[in-house]
Amino acid sequence: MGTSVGVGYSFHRDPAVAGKEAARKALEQAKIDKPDFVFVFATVGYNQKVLIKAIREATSRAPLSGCSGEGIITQETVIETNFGVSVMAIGSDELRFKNARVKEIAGQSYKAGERLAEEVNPLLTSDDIACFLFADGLVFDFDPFWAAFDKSLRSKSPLPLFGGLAADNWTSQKTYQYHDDDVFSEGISCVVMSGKGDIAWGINHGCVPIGTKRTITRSKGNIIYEIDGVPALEALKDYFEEDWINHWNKTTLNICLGFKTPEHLRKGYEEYIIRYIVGKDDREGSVTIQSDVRVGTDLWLVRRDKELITSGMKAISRQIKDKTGTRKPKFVLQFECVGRGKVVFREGEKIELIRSLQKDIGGDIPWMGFYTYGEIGPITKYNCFHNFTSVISAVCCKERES
Amino acid sequence: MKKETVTGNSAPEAVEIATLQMEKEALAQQVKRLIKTEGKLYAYQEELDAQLKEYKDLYELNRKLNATFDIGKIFEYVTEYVIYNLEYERVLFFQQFENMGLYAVCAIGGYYDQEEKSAVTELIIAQNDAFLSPLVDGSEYLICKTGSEQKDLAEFRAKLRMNEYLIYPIGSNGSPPALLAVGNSAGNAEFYQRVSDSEEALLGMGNLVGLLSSSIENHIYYTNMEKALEQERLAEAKYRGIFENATEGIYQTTPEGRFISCNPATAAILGYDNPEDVIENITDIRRQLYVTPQRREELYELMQSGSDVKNFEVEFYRKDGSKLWVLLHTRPFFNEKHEIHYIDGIIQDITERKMAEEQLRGSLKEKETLLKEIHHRVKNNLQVISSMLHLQSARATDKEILMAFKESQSRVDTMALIHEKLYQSKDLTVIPMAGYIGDLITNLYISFGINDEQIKAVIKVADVNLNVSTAIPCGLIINELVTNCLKHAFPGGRTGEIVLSLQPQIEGKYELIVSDNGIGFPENTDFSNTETLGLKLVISLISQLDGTIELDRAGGSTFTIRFSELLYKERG
Repeated sequence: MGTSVGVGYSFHRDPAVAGKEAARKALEQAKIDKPDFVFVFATVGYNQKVLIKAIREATSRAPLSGCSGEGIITQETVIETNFGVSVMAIGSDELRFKNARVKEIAGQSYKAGERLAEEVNPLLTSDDIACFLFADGLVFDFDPFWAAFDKSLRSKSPLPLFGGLAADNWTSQKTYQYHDDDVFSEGISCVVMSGKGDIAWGINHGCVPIGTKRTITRSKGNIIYEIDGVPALEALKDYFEEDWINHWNKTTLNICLGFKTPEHLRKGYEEYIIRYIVGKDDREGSVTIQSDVRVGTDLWLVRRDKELITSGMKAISRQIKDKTGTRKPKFVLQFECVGRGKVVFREGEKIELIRSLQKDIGGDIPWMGFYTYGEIGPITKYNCFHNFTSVISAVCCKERES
Repeated sequence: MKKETVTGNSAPEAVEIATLQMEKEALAQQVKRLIKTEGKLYAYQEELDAQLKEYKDLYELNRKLNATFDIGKIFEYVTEYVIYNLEYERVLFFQQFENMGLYAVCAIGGYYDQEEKSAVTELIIAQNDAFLSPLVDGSEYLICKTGSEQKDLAEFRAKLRMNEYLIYPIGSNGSPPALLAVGNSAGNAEFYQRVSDSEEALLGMGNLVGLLSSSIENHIYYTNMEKALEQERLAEAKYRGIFENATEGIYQTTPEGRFISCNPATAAILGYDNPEDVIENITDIRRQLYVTPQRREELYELMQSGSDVKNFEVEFYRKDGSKLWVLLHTRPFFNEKHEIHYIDGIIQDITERKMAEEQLRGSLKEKETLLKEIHHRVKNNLQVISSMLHLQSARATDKEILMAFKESQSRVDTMALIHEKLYQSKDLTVIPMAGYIGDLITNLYISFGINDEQIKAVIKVADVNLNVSTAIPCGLIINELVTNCLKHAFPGGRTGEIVLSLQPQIEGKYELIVSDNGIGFPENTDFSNTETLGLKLVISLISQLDGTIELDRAGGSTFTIRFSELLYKERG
C-alpha cells in the first residue's frame, strides 16, 4: 500500500457542509475510503464543533489533530479568511500517527510540558520520526513548555518538534485545538509520527535589524518591562502610528524584536531569532513575547523585508532538497507566520511566494498549512520557537530495499 | 533624548562625537518615520487589495448577471456574492407577489441552522407593512444595527433571524419587485462584514444593488418580451396554419399587379403549382388574370374610396388559359400619400356556383314560362266555363235561374281574373291586390249593368300583395259581398255608395271592409246562418282563411273581415 495522502479544502459557510466537502476532496485525492490519520486546519469563523464533527463523520472517525489558523494553505489555495477549512487524509502502512492533547495551559506552560510528556510517553516507539504540536497562540509560552517537555519525554533520541500556534484572526479571544472529537482552547494538540520515514525541513524569517543594539533591563519570564532603562512600551512607541493602541495586533507586526541567535544554533540559522510582541500592558508599560527572556539580553528592533522573505523561501527549498535528494515527499506541512501574509504582501505577491516554494519542492505533493501566531521547528538538533518565519516540514518515506 | 552641548573649547574628538551623536539621532528619527511609513504602506496595500478584489468580483458578477435572464440564477449569483465577497452571514431575497400584496422569500443564502432555515423560508412581508414604508417613500435602504432600538426594525430581527441587517429595494422605487436583506446573527457577527452605515461599508452593497436592480429589470423586461414573443409566435403559427390550410385563397398584391405573397389555395385556384409559381409568373394581374381587364379598374376604383370591397365577382384566367369565376374580398392599405400601398385579398373559386346559378336561372325561367302558361290556360278554361255559363243563361227564362247563372259566372270570372293577374305579373307567387280588386269591382259593375253614378264604388286598397292561396278566397269573398250589395242594397234604383277597403294591420293581419249605405241587412236575418249560397260561401271562405267576420248594420251594412295570409302548403 505505501502511503496515500490527499488534501481537500472548502470555504463553504455552513460548517457541516464545509467539513464534509473538504474531507471528501481529501479522500478522493488520496484515493482511500478510510484514512489512518487526519490533520485539520481551519479558521475561526466556523462553529468549530459542527465542523470537526462533519469531518470526523466523513473520515470514518479516523484519529484527528489540528488547530485554527488565520488562513489555510494548500497547493490549490492560499487564503486568509474567516471561513476556510483544509483536511489532510493519510492512509499508510509505512507511517504511524498517534495523537495526544493537554488543556488548561494558560499561565502554566512548564506544567503543560510535563503533562503532555506524560501523555506522549506511552505513544513513543523506537522508530519515532517527529512530533507535531498545535498550541494555543494566545497563551502558549514555548521556553518553559519545552524545558519541561524535553525533560519529561522518555524518547531514545531527540524528537524534532514541528508545528504552529493556533490563531484567531486578530480577535485575540479564542483559538481552537482539535483532538479527535474534542475541540478546545488554551490547550495543545500533539501528534507523534513514527515509522519508516524521515522528515526534511527548512526555516527562514527574512527580517532585518533597524537601529542599534538595545538591552533588556527588567523582565520576568516572557514579559519585558524595561528596555534600556525605560518602560518597554515607551521604548517602542515612536515606531508606531498614533492610533497604535487601537490596532495593536497589526501595528506590532511592523516592528518586532530580534535576539542574537545563540552560538550553538548559529550554524544552522540566521543571525537573529525573531519574536512577535504578542501582548502589552499599558499600565505597566510592558510587552509580552512567546518565549522567556532574561535581564541583560541584547535585542534589536527588526522589520520584515520582502526581498529577504522571498530569497528566504529559496533557502528553505534548498534545505529540504538537500535532505530529500531525489525522493519525493509524501506530504508537506507548512506553518507560515501570520505576519508574512496579507499584512505585508499584496495578494498576488503572497500567492506567488508560496506557489514558487511549492513548485520548487513539488507541485503535486499533498501540501497543507496554516497562518500561525508562532512557529515551531528545529534548528539543527535543537527545537526552537520562531516568529515571522515559514517552517516547512516535508515527510518522506524511506526507500524500500530492493 | 539627552542633548550634547559642544562649546568652542571642546576637543576635536568631542566635536566629532557630538556630530556623530546628532547624525545618529537624526538617522534614528528617519528610521522611525520609515517604519511608520512602511506600516502605513502595508495597511494601504491591504486595503487596496481588498478594494481591487471587490471590484474584480463585482465585474465577474456583472458578467454572470449579463449572461442570464434566469431569475433563479440571478439570485444564486448575488447570494454567492453577498456571502463570499461582501462576507455577510445571511442573505434573503423576497419576491413581490403583487396580486397578493406581499413579499415572500424566494432565495436564501448563508449559514442557518435547520430550524432557522425552515422559519425564514416561510417568511412573508405584507407590501403595506409600516416596516417597509421608508422604502416606499424613497429611502435607499433600511438599516438595523446591533443595539438599534427603533421599534419596527428591531421587531423584524426575530423574523429575519438577523440581529443586524440591511434591506434594499431591488428594481424600481415605489413598489419594488424584490427586496434584498443581508445581515448577521448575534452569535458570530465578528467574523462577518458588520452592518454599518459608514460610507465604506455601504459602498459594496450600493454597487451590488445597482447591478442587481438593472439585472432584475432586464429580467422583467425579458420575461414580458418572451411572453409577447410567445403570443406572437402562437398568433403567427395560428395565422400560418390558417394561411397554409385555408380552402380560400389568401393573398397580398401590389397595386401595380404583382403578387407579394399568397397561400397554396390561391395557387390551386389559379391553376399554379405553388405560391412561388404564382409570385414568379404572374407579373401583370390585370392582363394575365382578368378575362375582362376593365373589371380590374372597377375593383381598383372601389378600393380607392378607402373601403373594403366584398363579394366582387369576376372571371379569371387560370394558368392553362381556362376560365373560372372567382369571388374577391379585398382590403386596400394606403401609404402616407393616400395611395394604395398594397392589397390584402381573399379569393374563392365560385365557378361551380356560377354554373349552378346559371342552370337554376334557366330552370326558373323555364318554370316561370310554364307556370304562366298554366295560369293562362286556367284563365282561358275558366273563361270558357264563364262563357258556357253565359250561353247557358241565355236559355234560362226564370229570373232566379238566370241570376244563379250570373252569380256563378261572376264567381268563375273572379277566379279567372286571379290567374290573369298572375300570368301578367313579374312575380308568379303573389297578386297585387289593389289592381286586382279594382278590376274585380269594374267587372262586377259591368256584369250587373250598374254604373258608378248609380252606386259609387269607393276603393281604398293599400299596396298589398297576397299569395294565391289567400288571394282567391279573398277575391271570392269580395265578389260575394259586393254582388250582394249590388243585388240587394239599393233596390228600386236607389243610389248609394259601396266602400271597399283592404288594409294591413299589425302582426301580419289584414282587415277587409265591404260596406254600403243601402237599405241594410234585414234585422231578423242571421247573416252567418242564411240559406243563401253567397253568404254560405263567404262564411266558408272566411273559415278557410281562419279569419273572422263582423256585421255592422248601422247606416247600411258594413262587413269587417280580419284574416291572415295563408302560408303556402306543400302539396302531396
